[in-house]
Amino acid sequence: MKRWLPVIACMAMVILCGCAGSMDSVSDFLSAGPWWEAAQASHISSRARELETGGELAMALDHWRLVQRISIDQAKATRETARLEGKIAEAVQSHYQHGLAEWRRKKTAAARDHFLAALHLDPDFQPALNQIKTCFSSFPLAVYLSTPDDRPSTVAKNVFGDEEKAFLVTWFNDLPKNETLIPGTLLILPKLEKIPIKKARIKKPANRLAAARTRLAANDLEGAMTLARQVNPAYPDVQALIHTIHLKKATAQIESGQFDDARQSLATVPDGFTDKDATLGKLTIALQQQQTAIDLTQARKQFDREHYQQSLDLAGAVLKDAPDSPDARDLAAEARYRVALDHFNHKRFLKAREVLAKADDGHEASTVLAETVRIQLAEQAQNHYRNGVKYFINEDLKSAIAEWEIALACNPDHEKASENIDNARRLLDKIESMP
Amino acid sequence: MSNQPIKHSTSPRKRVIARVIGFMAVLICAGLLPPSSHGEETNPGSASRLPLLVRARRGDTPASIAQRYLDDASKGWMIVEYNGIETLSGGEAILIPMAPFRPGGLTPGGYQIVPVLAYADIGDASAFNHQMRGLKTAGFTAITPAQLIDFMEFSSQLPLRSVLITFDTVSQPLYDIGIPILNEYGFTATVFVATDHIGGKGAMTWDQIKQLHEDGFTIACRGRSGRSLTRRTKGQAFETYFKSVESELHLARKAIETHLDAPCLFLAYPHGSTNRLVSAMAAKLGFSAAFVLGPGENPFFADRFGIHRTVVDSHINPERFGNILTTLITADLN
Repeated sequence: MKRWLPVIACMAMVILCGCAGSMDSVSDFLSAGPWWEAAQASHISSRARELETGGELAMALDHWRLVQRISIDQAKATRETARLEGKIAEAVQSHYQHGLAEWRRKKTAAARDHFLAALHLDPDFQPALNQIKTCFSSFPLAVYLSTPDDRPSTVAKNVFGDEEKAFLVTWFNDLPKNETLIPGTLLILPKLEKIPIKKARIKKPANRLAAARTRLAANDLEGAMTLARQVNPAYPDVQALIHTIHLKKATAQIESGQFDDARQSLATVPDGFTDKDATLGKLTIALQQQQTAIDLTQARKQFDREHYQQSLDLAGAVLKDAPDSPDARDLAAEARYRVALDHFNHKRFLKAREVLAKADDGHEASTVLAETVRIQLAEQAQNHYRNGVKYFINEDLKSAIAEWEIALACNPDHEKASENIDNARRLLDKIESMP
Repeated sequence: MSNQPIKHSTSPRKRVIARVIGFMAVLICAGLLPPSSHGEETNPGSASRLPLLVRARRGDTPASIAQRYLDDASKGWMIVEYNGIETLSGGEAILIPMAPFRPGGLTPGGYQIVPVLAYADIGDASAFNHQMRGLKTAGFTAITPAQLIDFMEFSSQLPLRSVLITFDTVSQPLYDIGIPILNEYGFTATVFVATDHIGGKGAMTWDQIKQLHEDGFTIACRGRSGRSLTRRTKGQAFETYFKSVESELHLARKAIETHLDAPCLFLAYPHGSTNRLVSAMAAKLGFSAAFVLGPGENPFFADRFGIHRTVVDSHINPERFGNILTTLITADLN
């Protein structure tokens, strides 16, 4: 009876599988189980190459990652995955930086295509998505931060140029009455055109040009412009005064952060006019500072979301434009450490070493991690070195060289591995040249 | 009982060998098999995006595979687009994308745009039928506004040939003629209703509107009276104008939600026109998106409160109809 026990056990298992409704799983396991999956590796690898050739790098990467999981020989897929990850990361950064540059040059279509290309390569790359949403996708609501003594009527006057539109402020924010707002309250408001307040009619002075200059000296730019426009513009003095007013206006707009308005004011001044280049320079610097602040904020957000690689890329980009920014430097160092730590935790020691190679000497945690990585890699190098020796003893010179090369990659100071590679290659050459 | 002596078929040594072989087999199954594509992943971030490798069974179609692995037969197009195939054969290796692989419709050759057709009414039934047949033949999938919004939020993707079909009418011929034609081709559509018109002469009743909603058509808002929201009558105070717009939008939305017992999330600006205030009010009142009338592209990064709809009728020139259905803007995204 005992000898039938295994048969009975098998039958019981099959019956139980059937009762549990898992015969399909058993059938799937037999027809499409791990061995079948492993046999598909070369087909999926071919498709990955096709996709890469066709520009679908993200899809190709997913294919290689799958091959890495199902293949018996994972080394090749691991290499391809790492290569493609690097290629994508590099291309994403390149497109993003080009996009920012084109945006600064006001080439919006080119900027948009670069941001889209970055997103196509890496759909999780938030900085590019943020740029697309901010620059190319409008939304009808804006936000306003209330200041001390703000009431719906003062907000309406500030934002819409008409305090009678206070009811819009209360309606959009579910506020009860025209009461004083708590400073720092975030209000949601419609993006309406600011309606200029009607100005009292100014008496025409005898010499309007002189009056306009007086207004300009008193920094009343609107008044100066109104008067200047009442004078015959054919006179060069009048034109010069109008250009000067536009430049002053642009300067004030730059200082108050109204960069688009400043750009428009500057566009009306002819090239070569005194101080135009200087004002343009101020605008460019202000725009760069604004972009740096935006990028740094995004880098911090990515860091808070634990997207350390993206945070590092952004902080790195900020450092290129503003190498002295201590905030960007500290953030980059911390993000680099976290990226390296992630590689280390997933046993990707080579990657960790590569990332840490650029770490600041002053970042203590990075220094400690670099030493730990070095020790791990030295151990790995020694293991690969031993494997190489085993292959060498078994006269498999090619495998031995491959192992020693890995050992050398793990520890470039491994002298024995280096010597053995040279010796084995010489030996291999001799064997291959033998008749 | 037989008198024959008991015959041991195997010696104790052979039994030990058999047990060892069995034990080894268990070990092989447990640990030495190649790792399965369904197995535990060392990098959980990439695991959620990894495709699933499956073997097609005899008679499988993209839709049946999508039903089996994605719980949604209508996602068969994802299987087709991901694998770059049109047909399946038994035993073939198929990859199932477990996450959107082209969010926002971005491809190396450009970015996807979604044409939105706006019918004021059915008009000539045979011409409408012809247009729908043309869409089907050209491989178009009719989508819902909710799908469009997911696409615009960059959280999902659409079939490369997607179209949103909309109607600005509650006329009875839409229910009697148009809807059966749409059903014949398996197309869904969106009906923007002006709530005051429902139940009027020659118009659908609320019961019919509810039936459409239950049949999977999207019922959305076109105001209460259907009058333009941007027109301010002569001498009308700004606050009075504002209150009239609020009333049009708020009451219409409330009526739809009450009758259908479902949220009303989409608005077609009456007469297709809007201004900054009306768009902002639509956003504040809880609409997820709003549509204008007028040509324009709808990529994923378009203004959600200014989605373009192109007016179409039964007399439209086939060539012009084809031009409206452009779904890809060429750009070098390599």
